Amino acid sequence: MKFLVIDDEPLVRRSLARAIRARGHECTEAADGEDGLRLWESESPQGVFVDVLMPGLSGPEVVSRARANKALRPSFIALISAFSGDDSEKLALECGANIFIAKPFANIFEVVDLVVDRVVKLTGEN
Amino acid sequence: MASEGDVVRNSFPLGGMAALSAGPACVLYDGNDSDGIIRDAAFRTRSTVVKQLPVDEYRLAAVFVFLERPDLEQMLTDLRSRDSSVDIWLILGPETSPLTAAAVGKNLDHEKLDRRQVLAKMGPKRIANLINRYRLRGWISRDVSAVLDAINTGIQNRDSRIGYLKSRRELGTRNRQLYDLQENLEKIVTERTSYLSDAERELHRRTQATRELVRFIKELSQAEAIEEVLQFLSHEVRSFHEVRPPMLALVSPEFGARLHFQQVRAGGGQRAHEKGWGSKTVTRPWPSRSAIRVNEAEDQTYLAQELGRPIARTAVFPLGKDARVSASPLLIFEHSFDESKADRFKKFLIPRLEPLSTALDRVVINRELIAASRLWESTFDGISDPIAVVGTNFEVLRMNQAFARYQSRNEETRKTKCYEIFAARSAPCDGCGLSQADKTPEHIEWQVRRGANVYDVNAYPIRFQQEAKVKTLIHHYSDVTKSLELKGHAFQGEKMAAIGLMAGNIAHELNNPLAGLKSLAQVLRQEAKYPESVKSDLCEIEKAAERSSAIIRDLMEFSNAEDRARETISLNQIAESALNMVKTALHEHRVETEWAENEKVMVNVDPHLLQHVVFNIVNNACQAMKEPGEISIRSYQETHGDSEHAILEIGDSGPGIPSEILSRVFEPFFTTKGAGQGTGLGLSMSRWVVETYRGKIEVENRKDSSGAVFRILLPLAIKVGQ
Repeated sequence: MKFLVIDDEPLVRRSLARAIRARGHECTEAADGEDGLRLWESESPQGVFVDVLMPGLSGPEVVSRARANKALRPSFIALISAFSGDDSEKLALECGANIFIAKPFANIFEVVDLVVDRVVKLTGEN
Repeated sequence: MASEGDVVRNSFPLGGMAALSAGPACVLYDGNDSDGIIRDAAFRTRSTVVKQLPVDEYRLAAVFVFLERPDLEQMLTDLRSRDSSVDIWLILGPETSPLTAAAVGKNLDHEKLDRRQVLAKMGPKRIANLINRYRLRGWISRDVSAVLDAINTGIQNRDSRIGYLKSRRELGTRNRQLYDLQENLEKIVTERTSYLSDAERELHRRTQATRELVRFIKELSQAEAIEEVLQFLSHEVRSFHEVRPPMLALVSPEFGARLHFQQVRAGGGQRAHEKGWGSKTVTRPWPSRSAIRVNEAEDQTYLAQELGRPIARTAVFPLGKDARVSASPLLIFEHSFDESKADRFKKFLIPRLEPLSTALDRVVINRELIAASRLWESTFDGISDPIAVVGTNFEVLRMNQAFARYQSRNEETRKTKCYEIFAARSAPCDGCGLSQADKTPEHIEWQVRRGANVYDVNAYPIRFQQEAKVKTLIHHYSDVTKSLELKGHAFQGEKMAAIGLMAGNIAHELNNPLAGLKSLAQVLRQEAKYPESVKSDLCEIEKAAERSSAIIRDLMEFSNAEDRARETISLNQIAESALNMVKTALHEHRVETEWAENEKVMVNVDPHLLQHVVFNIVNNACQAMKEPGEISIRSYQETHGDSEHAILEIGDSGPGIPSEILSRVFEPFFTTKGAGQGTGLGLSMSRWVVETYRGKIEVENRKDSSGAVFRILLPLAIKVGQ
């Protein structure tokens, strides 16, 4: 399966990418929203990780645009953020993401496994 | 030439004085003068010879009587009866005188010859007898020179006699005049004397009246109340028995239109008010007066209506300077005078009206002044801040009650300077702005300390007229200790909030890379291609990242305490929820609780945050007790000065905190726990939270070194709705 990670923090981005690849999936990385949307169109990933706070386009903006763009694949989207709370979850769902994951992760593999599991379920239904 | 008429006029004492003068003399001789001796002598003396006694006796200088006349004695009697003083000579006739017979030029002794002849004719006895009886000069020889001498002597005698007479007459006139004058004078003196004594009596009367008036004015000048003025007046008119004490209709700005009168006749005391002077507000204004009116029906009706009793006769005296103004003051007397007595009373009172009017004006104005000054005084006394009027020499001129509280009650230790009284200092306060008073026209501000309190002093210069230099100022002291404290608190709160916000931001900024670091370490550790030594290094990196994350979590947990939603909640409730959170840790320890009534320990905080604080402290206590021990928790209310606190006390039975670190336990990142066991932020964050809520957190070791006690003090909140 194909994944896309959009996060301006290189350590987070790379650890996610490595964990995904360690699980035997393909993964592309983008450091900002613009770049992310471009890769989203060219790679057409099944699952996408989007950071909330980024320079330029914010996470929710990227998600909104992706959802609005019919040319894009309706991927499974996980919004990740260092800020947690009731509002964050609501925000994620409002902009069209499927799941909200708070940083820091207790264990990154649990996170990756959770998302992969959901993507498999989603594509299987499709 | 004097005539007989002149003589008649001369008999008048004053009128004929001018005629009584030595005119041409005459000589009386009625005998034979053939030898011309008499005529010749008369001619030589410018006298005339007459044969009859002239009516004007004063002209007669001498009389020559023919010696041989038969009626000699008759004639002499006649002469003497008519002229008592003229010289009378006896003389021989020319026929019998030997002298005439003898030839002229013969050297003969005339006198001897004539003497012989005279003696022969009459005899010496008879001659002596005649001379004595008729006071004759004697006999004279018929000789021109002898006769001449006799006439001259006679003229001289006559002149001196006339002079004498003149003087006599003059004297008489003068005497009469003098007498008249004296009489006149006496009359004048009598008149004057009686006039003088009248005048003196009048003067005395007037002096007496003036004295009385002056005494009355003096008395009036001492009066301080309307009642006293009336009392003096009442006393003044006491000699008029048929008059009652005066009534006064007076308008004053304070009390309006009132009628003052004596309610009860006579009374015990000396003071006017004890005699029952009273007043009532009139129901309608009294009729205005411009003249004194006696027994006017209108006045009587008015009084009867106002006083509700029958009124006798009245005398009404207007007192105002401009009596035409309605409701000007009236002095009213009730009396039973007849007409003449009423007139006397009027006369007595009129000079007293002006002093009375002045005295009343003074009393009313005085009372207004006093009322005005009392108003100001009570205004200033009503202000709870100390206020004083202070000279530029620091002398306090006036002070209100709040300021006077600082003044010593003891006269001897009484201070006069503002810094002595207010700040109990011996020199002007630090920062005192009084010295700038004459440099700036504006008000000056500075702060002074009085014990633990800080006062703002606002000094407002008082300028009298156009006085160039400010000599007095009003000092207004306001206690700003509290507001400074609040300001300090607010500043502290703002600081806390700012630090909290910054800490939150930093935490977030750090959180991201830390999350990445930790995740990457995890991922790399899972990858098989790295040797074990690298993997254990990666494990260390993961742990360090985890510890950093914990610190950041704490920071984020406590940050923005100020922004969090507060609620008013009992400390008991917070402590109980916190105890639930550490249930497992508490398992091996005993927990003693002693709760105050919920209402007594209400605080206004974010319950979660405070729970965290309590949790931190309880958790620390548990960790401090290596062996099973006791945690005692107690809540209570305490009052410090005017601030009330809800207090939560958490004690343990551990070893206590070493005294050298007791003061450092609230410092950030100070911890005695091993690495990885604590962030060192728990207690410092707890203090931060408590101070954010204007509270205080304290720690001490029990006196018997049976553990440490933490105390959280929070301002008491009144529960909403109570």
